[in-house]
Amino acid sequence: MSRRASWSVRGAGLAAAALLLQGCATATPAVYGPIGPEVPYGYRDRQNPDGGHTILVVMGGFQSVADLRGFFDRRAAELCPAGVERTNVFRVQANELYAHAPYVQGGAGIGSRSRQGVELEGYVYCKPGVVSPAG
Amino acid sequence: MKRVLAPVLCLAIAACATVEPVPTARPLSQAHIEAMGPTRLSVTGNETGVAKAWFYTEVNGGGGGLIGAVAGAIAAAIINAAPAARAQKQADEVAEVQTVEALNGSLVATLKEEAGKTAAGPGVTFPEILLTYKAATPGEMDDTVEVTTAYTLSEDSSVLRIVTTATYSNKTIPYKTPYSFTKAVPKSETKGPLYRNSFTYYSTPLPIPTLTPELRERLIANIKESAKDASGALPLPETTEYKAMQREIELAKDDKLTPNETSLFLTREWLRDDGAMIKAEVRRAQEFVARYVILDINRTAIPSLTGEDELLETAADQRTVRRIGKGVETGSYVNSAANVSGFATYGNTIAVAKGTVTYIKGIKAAAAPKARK
Repeated sequence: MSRRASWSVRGAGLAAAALLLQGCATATPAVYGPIGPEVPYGYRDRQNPDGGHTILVVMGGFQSVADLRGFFDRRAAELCPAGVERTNVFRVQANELYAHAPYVQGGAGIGSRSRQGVELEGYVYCKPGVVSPAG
Repeated sequence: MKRVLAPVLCLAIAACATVEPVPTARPLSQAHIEAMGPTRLSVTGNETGVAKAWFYTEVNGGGGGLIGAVAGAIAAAIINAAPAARAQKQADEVAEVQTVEALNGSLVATLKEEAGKTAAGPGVTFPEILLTYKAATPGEMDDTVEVTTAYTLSEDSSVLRIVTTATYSNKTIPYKTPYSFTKAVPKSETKGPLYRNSFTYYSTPLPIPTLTPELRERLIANIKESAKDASGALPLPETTEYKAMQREIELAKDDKLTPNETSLFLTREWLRDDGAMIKAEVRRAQEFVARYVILDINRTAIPSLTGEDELLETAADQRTVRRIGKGVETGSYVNSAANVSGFATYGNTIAVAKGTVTYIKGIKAAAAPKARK
């Protein structure tokens, strides 16, 4: 095997390993629960001065708007035991990473984009009558 | 030498990594507000009109030597030809209904109207509002609030994003950071404008079309139509244009619409009724910008990186205005549509309408003889 070919194989191996690692890092769906110092994915909420709540849901880049919305609605139901009067999702965001085309020994590299994470944020207003638990 | 250089580089990188973040927003102090009083406001003439966002795919063939570099350039041309052409065409079409001249003119008019409501003061007021094109008059304006706006259609054309930045600099009043740092004051906090903030408006998103066999056929027809040359002929086999067309047709046959493909259908929605929808969103965005720039310049609260967002306003259609409360964007204003249900991305490249480029060139050319005098 020539030196150039050897480098190409090594490069391809490294790229494959990186892809596999990325797959491992992102393939686990978020588990429903609050975000914390050791828990990057889940929900966070707080009560607002107008009586409503703000709910933020954060997930890995491969998850969908439906996944985000599922957590949002579930948390809204928990915050509003008497029922949800209305919701208003004002932000649905994909945090993308743009990578420049890499230099690949003996070959060509292609620039890429990948979703590092997705977020959904919105307001929830409960039906009156029952005091909601603290967020 | 290498032994010395490596640790130095490591230290330099470590230093970069530990620069303490500060909010981008810079409020004025009460003393600055009182010193400024009636102040000139300049709308920086937008020079890109409603730009169309798209994603340019880089190809680096340098690893294959000179031949690889050439092959890489050809591959990049094939990959990017259709997305670039689509974005350009859409930018051109949007500029026909919403010209850059109209965008700038309406922002000046809206700011004048809003400034008129607070003309008596107190605080910073704007008795003089003018339009300045940087192509004709480059450089920062002293003792002037400068308002710069970018209008961008998302990659799939579902959302029009309008971002305004307002700044104020005064040579006699240098900026002094209100923050304390555990290490040295970051260089960025030792210079720059006395006041700075940003105001972002997101239009009501258009619904994403569902991919049906009929829609797929329309997409393929559109790809072929776009590939035709000026005489209406399709590209010849083996040419770069032909390969680009074939690639787009193959991509169109899959089961999903890419943002770039979606934009073909959604940009048309914006153009309906002589661009009524895009004009309505621009008007609403400019009213938001005018109102909040004038309010914010008289606000002295120093933004904190660790606060919470504030809901400032909810419109009848549930559109909200928030002041961001944490992170480097803290203090900035965001006007969002209600019940958003999809991602909108803005790529890494914009297409600017040919008509807009020509218009700005005209302004620059007209200014050149004056500059020489």
